[in-house]
Amino acid sequence: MEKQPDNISLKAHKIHKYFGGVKALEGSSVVVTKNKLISLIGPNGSGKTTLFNVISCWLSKSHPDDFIEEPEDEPKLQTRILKTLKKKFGGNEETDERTEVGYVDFEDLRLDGLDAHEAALTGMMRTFQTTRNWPKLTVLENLLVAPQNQTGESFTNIFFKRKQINEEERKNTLKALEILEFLEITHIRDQIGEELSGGQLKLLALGRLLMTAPRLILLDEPMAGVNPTLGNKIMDKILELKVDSTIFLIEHNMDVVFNYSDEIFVMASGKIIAQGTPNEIETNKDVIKAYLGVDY
Amino acid sequence: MTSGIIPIDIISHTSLTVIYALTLIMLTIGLNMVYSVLKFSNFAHAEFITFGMFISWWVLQILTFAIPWDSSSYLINNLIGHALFAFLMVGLLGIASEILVFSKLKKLSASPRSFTVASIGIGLILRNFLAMIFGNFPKPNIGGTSISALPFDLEIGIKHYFTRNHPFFGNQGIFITSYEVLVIIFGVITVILVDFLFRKTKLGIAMRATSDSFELAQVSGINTRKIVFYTWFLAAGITGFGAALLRANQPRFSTLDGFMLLLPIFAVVILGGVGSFRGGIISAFIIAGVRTVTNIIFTQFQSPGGLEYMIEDFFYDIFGIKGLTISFSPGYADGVGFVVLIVVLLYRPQGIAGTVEAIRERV
Amino acid sequence: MARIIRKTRINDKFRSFIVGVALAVPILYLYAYAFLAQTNKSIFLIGTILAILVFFVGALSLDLEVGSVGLPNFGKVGFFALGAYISTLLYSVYRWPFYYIPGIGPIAQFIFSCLVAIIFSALVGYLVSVPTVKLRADYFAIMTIAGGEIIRLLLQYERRWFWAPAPVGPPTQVISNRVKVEFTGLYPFNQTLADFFGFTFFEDHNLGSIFIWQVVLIVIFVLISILVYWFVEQIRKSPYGRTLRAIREDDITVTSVGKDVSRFRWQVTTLAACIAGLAGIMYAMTFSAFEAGDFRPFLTFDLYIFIIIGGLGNSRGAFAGTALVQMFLRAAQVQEVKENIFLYLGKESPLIGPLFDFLQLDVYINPDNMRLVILGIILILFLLFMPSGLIPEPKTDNEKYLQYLTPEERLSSDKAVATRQSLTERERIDEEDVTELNSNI
Repeated sequence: MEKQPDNISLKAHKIHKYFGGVKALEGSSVVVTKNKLISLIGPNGSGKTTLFNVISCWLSKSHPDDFIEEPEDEPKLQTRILKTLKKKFGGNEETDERTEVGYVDFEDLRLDGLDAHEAALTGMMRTFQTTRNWPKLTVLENLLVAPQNQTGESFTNIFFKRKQINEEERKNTLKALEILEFLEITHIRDQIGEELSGGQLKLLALGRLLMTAPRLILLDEPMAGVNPTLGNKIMDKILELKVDSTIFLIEHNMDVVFNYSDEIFVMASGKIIAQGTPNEIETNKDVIKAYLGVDY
Repeated sequence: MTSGIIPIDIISHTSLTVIYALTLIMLTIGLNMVYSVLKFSNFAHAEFITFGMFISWWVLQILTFAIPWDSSSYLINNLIGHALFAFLMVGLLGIASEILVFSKLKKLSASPRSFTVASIGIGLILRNFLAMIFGNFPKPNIGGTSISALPFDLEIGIKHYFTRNHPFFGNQGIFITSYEVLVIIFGVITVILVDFLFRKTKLGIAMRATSDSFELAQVSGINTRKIVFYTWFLAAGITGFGAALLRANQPRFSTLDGFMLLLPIFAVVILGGVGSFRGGIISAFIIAGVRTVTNIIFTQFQSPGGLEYMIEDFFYDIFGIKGLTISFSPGYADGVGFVVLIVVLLYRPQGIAGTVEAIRERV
Repeated sequence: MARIIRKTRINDKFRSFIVGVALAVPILYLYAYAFLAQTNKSIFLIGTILAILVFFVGALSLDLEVGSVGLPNFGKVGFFALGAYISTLLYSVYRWPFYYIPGIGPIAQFIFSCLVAIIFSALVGYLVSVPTVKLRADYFAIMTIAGGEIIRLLLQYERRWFWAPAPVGPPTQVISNRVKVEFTGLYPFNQTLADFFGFTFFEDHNLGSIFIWQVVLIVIFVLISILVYWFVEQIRKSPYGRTLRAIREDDITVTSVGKDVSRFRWQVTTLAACIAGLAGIMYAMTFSAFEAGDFRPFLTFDLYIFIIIGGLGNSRGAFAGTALVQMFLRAAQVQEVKENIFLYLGKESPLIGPLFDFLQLDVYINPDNMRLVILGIILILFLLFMPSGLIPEPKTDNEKYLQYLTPEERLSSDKAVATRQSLTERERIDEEDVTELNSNI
C-alpha cells in the first residue's frame, strides 16, 4: 500500500457488504481527516451502522462480485449450483476481471482481516447504537475493565506480578475518577450498571472508551433516546475530545450535525451520495432528494 | 481374508434403521417444537419419554384387568389405545411443567441456563417418582404376559428369507414384527399430520410466528400464552405417543431408558436444525443410518481377521510387540452419532436446514 | 434511594439466613440420626467428609466456568473420568516408568501419574474448548454433554487400554485404584524407610493402618481443597476475574474495548478442566473401585445442583451447597433411615387398599428414590424463589479500588461525589419545574 498522508486518520475505500440478497453497502468510501469531527448522516437503513461495523471489523466485507441475484421464481439452491457450474466450465473471462476489493486503512495500518478486538487495540474505538454495559459491575469497575493490555489480565501475572498489578490498578482508578469528573457523573461512582438511566449509560459508554485513550472514536448515535439538555451536554463533551482524537459520528439530530461538524458524509441505500462542509451539504440537491423524496 | 467377513443382512438392517429413525422422529418432534418456540433445551424431554413408556404400560395393565384377553376390543386397546392415553397424559404433564415451573421462570426473566437446570430438576423428580411408583424394572403384572409382547401375532409381521447361506450374499431376509409395522405406519402418519399442522392450520402458523419472534407475534394479536400451552401439549403428547410405541417394541424397559435417549434426540434436533421439521426427518435418518452402519462396520473390524487384528499384525511386524491396536467395539455406535453432531456443528452451525444461528450473536 | 437499597439487602440476607436454617436443621437432624444409628461411626463420618471434599473441588471447577464466565459446561464428568482413569491406570496397571525403582518408586509413580492425569485433562479441555467457546450457550451445553459421553464411551469400550487386566480371564471393566491397598499395606513407606534408614515404623497390614490412610487422605484433601479455593478466589479478585465477570454480563462490549474474549474463555475452560481432573483423581482415591458407568451425565447434574443451591459465582456457596446436599444424600442412604422412613401403599394397606388394587399399583415410598425427588424439588424451588442461592455472589463494591488511593485523593474523590450528588439533585428539581422531558429511555 502507498503511504498515506499524515493528516488522514481513516480511509475506507469502496466497501461492499451484502446480506444474502440485500445490498447493504455498495462501494462506499470515506476519508476521515485527523482532529476533526466528521458526521455520517442518511435515512434509516442506508447502511451507516453497517459501514461502522465493517470499519471496526465486526463484520467482514463482501467481495463486490459475490452478489447472488436470485430470480424470484427460481429456487435458491439451483441458482447457486448453476452459477458454480458456469464459473467452472463457462470460460474464465468472468473470473479474470473481478473488480478490485475495497480496503480499510487506519493511519498506517490496514485493518482488513483483523478480529474486532484486534481492531480495537489499534486505537480506534467505537460505541454501539444500543447502550451496552455490564449490569452487575459498578460504574467504577465498568471503567476499570476497559484499559487495554492490563498486566492483571494475564493469567500467570495474577500470582507473580502482584506489585505491578496494584500500581496499575491505582493508576487506572485515578484515571477513571478523572474521567468520571470530566463527564460530570462522579455521583454514580458506586452504583451498579443496571441502576443507571439511559443518558447515564451513554455517558458511561463514552467514558469506557476514553479509558483507552483512542485516536479515532466511532460514535453510533450518541444522543439517541436522550433528552435535549443531556444531549447537548454529551455533545459538549464530544467537542472537548476533538483536541486529542478524531471523531466520526452517526447522528440523526440535524441541528447538532450541521452546527458542529467539520465535514459531512451523506449515505443513501449503501452509497455515499455527497460529502462536504455543512454549507455545501445543505444546498446539495441529491441529499434533499434522498431525505425527502424525488418530487420535493 | 474373506473368511473374516460376516455376510451382512442388508435388508434387515435397513428395515431396522427405518424403524429406529421413525421412532427418533416421533420422539424429537416435541423437543424441536419446544426448542424453537420457547428457546431453551428441555432436558426433561428424556423423562417425558420415560413417563410415556410407563403410563402406556400401566394403562395396558388396567385394561387387561377390565377387558378380558380374548375379547376383540382388546386388540384395539393394545394397538393404539395405550398410545393415545400416553399422548393425553404426557401432554398434560407438559402443560403442568409449563404452569408450575417454566412460566414462573419466564416471569423472573431467567437465563436459558436456569431453564435448562430447571428441566434437569424436573427430570430428576419424574425419573425417581416413576421408579418409586413402578419399581425400577417393571415386572409383569397380574393377568399379564411379558411386559410388551402382544398376546397375539398379527399376520402383518413379515418373516421372509430371500437367500440362505448364499456364498456371496449370505443370509438375506426381512424380519419385521407386527408392532414394527405399526411403528412405521404411525410414524408416517404422524409426520404427515404434523407437517400439515405446521404448514396449513392456523395454529401451526401461529406457532411458527411465535417461534420467530415472541413480541412480534404478541403485537400482531396472537395469544402467545395459549400458543405456548398448545405447544407444550402437542410437543409432550407426540413424545408420549412415540414413547408408547417404542416401549411396545422392547422386551424390557426401565426408568433410565428415556435418559439414554437424551443425547440421540438432541443430536437429531441440532443436526436437523432447530425449528426445522423437515431437517429433523433427514437428520433422524442420518443418525439412525450412521448408527447401524457403525454397528455393522465395527462388528466386521472386530471379527477375526478384521481391521483390529490387521493393525495389530502391522505393528507386530514393526515393533515385535503384541496388542498395539485399538478396539472397534460396536458399542461406539451411539458415540459416532455425537461425533457427527460435533463435526456438523463446527462446519455448519445452523444444522441441515435450520435458521437459528448457533454462534454467539455479534453486534 | 440508598436507604431502600440497604433495606432490601438486609432483607435478602435475612431471607437467605432463614432459608439456610430451614434447610440445614432438618438435614443435620437427619444426618445426626443416621450417624448415631451407625455401628462404625468414624467410617461413616470420614466417608461423608471425603465425598464432600471431592465434590467441592469438582463444584469449584464448575463454578469457575458457570459462575464466573457463564459457560454452561455439561460435560464436566468427562474430565472427572479422565482424571480418575489416567491416574489409576498409570499407577495401578501400567506402573510405568518409576514404579519399580526401589525406595521412592511407588510414591514417585503416584505423583507422576497424578501430574499426567491433570495435564492430560487440561489438554483435552483446551482441545474441546477452542472450537466450542464461540457457540451459543445452549449449543455449548449440548456439545459438552456429547463430548463427556464420547469420553465415557471410549473408556467403556476400549478394552485393550482402559480396562483393568484381571488375574484370570479377560480384562474387566471395573478399575480399582491400588493406592489405598498399598498404603494400608504400608508398602511404599516401609520400603522407603527400610531402604534409606534401615528401620520401619509400621509393622504390617492391620486395621489401624486403614484408619491412618483415611486420616491422611482427609488431611491431603483438605489441603488440596484449600489450595484450589485460594487459587479460584485469587482469580476472582484480580483484574482477570473482573474481566471474566464482564464477559459473563456482555461479551460484545468486552470485545469492543479490545479484549480477546475467546482467549479468556478457553483459558478458563482449560483451567477448570485441570481442576476437574484433580477432582477425578480424588474421586478415584476415595472410591477406590469404579467403572465407566459411574461417569454418566448425572454426576455433572449433581454438581449443578450443588452450585445452584449454594449460590453461583461464589466459592463459599459451592462448599455450602456441596456439604448440605452430600450430607442429605448420605444420611438418606443409611439402612436405619430407610427402615424407619418407609411407606407402603398397595392392596394390603388399610382403607385405600382396594383403590390401589384396582390401579394395579404396589407403591413403596422409599428414601432411595424419595431423596432425589426431594432434591429435585429443592432445586426448582431455589431456581424460582432464590436464584442467587444460599450464599449470593458478593456485591461488588469500590472499596477494593479506592484503597489504592492516598487518603487525600480518597477524601477529594468522596467530596466530589457528594458535591456532584447535591448538584444534580438541584439540577433535577430545577428541570422538573421547567420541562417534563427529563424522562430517560
